[in-house]
Amino acid sequence: MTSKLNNEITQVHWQPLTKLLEPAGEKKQTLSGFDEEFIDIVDYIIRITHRIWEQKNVGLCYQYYSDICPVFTLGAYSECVEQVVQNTLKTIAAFPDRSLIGENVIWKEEPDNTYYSSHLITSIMTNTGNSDFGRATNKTGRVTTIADCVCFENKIIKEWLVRDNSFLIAQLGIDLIDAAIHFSRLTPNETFNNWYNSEYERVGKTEHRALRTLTAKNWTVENFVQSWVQTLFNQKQFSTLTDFYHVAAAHQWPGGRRSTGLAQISGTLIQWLSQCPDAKMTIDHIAVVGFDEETIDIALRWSVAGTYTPHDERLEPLKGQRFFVLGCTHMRVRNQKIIKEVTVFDEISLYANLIREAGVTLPTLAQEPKHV
Amino acid sequence: MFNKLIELYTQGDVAQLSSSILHSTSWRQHDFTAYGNMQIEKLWLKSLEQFGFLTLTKKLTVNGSEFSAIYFELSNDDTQQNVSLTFFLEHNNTHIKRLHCIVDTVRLAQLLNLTPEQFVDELISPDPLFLSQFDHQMHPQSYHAVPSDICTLPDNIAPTITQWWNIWQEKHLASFEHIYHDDAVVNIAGIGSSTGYVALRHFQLKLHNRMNRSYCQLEHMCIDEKQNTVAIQWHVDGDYLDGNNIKRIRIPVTSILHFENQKIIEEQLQIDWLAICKSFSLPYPFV
Repeated sequence: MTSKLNNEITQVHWQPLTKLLEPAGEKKQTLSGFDEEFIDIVDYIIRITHRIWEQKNVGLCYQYYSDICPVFTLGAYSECVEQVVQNTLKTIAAFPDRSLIGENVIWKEEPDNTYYSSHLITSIMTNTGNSDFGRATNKTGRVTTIADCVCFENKIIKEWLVRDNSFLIAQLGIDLIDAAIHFSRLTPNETFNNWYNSEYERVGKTEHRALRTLTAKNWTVENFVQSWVQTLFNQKQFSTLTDFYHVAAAHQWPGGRRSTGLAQISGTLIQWLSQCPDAKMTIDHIAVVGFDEETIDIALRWSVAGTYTPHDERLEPLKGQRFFVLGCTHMRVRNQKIIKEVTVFDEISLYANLIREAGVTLPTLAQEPKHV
Repeated sequence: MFNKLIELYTQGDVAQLSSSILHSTSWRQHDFTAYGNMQIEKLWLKSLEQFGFLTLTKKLTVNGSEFSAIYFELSNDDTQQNVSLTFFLEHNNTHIKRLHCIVDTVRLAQLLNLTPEQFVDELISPDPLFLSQFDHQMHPQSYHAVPSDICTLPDNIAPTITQWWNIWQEKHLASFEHIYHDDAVVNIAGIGSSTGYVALRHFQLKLHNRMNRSYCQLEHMCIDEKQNTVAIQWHVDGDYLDGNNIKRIRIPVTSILHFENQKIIEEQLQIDWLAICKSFSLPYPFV
């Protein structure tokens, strides 16, 4: 396969943090315009993340983010470094012991001399302060995040950020729909609305009936990934899972969905897609790096658009609303099959957007906090 | 690595095992996943507080390449009560990346003189788990993992392991007689040790009958050809029958098998029953 890809570049998997923070090797990439201390793009991402988040040097955002830096999430859009600093500080205040454990960095050198980095992060954090989720719960939770960043001359110039917030709030004891109702009261800015509308329209135009064939002979990462989208998500042909997943593949999806093997993965996808039966999906970015001699890691950024069909009667008033998801997936592929997949998107923002667009008032289960 | 694990529980040697923990190591115990040194050490200290410093009385190891596994029993010299633990770990001989520890919590509760209900209250909250419904049927052209999909099986034990899995996945109960030695030592967490396969067959029936639409799924395996031992990480999904209601549940299992002349002479079937009761709000006993 493509086992000789990028093997010189820092790989996080077996590295102790002390070594990652003090890399001893030679510079492995040109990194034009980056500080000399960074030996490759993975090193850059790991060390600046550690400095900003774990060492709490929030002000370093000024050094490592460009003044104008669009940051896209499913819940909001921010555009300048000042907002990055303010949001970082706000999160640290609500979760003061937040750790950012770098699980993987999958990257790509782009033709325009930028580097694209997809950073899979596990965070452990204790909710001791009030946050957008509500009042402090004083509970510790774990959350998976994928941060896709465009890096140029030592700065992040664009970012797409997805976090498995529904898994986090389940640990904090907060109901998903309550959290979405709470989030829906936040008013996104005009740029977010424009982006949301244009993305919904773009993804909706996907030609979902065109057949794609994937064989051992025509197998490329691009063909594999596009076939995965077209066959499973756009055409809902679930018996073809065997073309994409190993029979004991591990599959992590938001909200605590954990599956192993074809039957369970099929169930997860069917149940999830059935809330948006006309879902169309596009792949918006692909990056691939070698993991070992037989294995590659693929990072995908994707979008799903369609029409919402509620399963939960509390959400019944939202039927027919626009359903849109910004998601990221990291997959480990061996012998042309996925052996491990981590998919992340923000279910709270997904439902919050539906509630806001519907313009309805839904009751919460929990008593509303008076001051948050 | 095995010695480091044993010495943690027998001597409290936290420092030695800490040196094998990465910032990104995950340690799953009682269906809660701890990440990194700080969370993992907290789990260890809780275990040491519960177990005390016990004596190693039995161990069974599987030294594989990518994964390894160890089962051991720790006993209290005064009361003669014991507790068993199984560890299934991904490691590179220097560091542990992922580890799943299954404790026989029924025996641990006995060791601590607690009722199962009291012990469940003390357990850490498990990870949230969202189990989607799926088609559990073995349709003729659908494909379900078998041991040879997971790893290369040595010729001398391949047929036995395949039949062993068929007992669980396809309910081939007649295979018990063919693959277990008459004097096989079989230990089932929460139930105890017996000779031969009869108790295990009874357990298999009770487990599957306690649920509707049960489905067994392999996760990982490791094989130690020198010792003729195999460890299998797997789980059972099903609808737990609770009066007129059903609860979708998952039971994680680690089985460690010891072979001789193509027959199983020892099996350790490890399940953390009380963590499952906590996860799904089930009463104990489960079966």
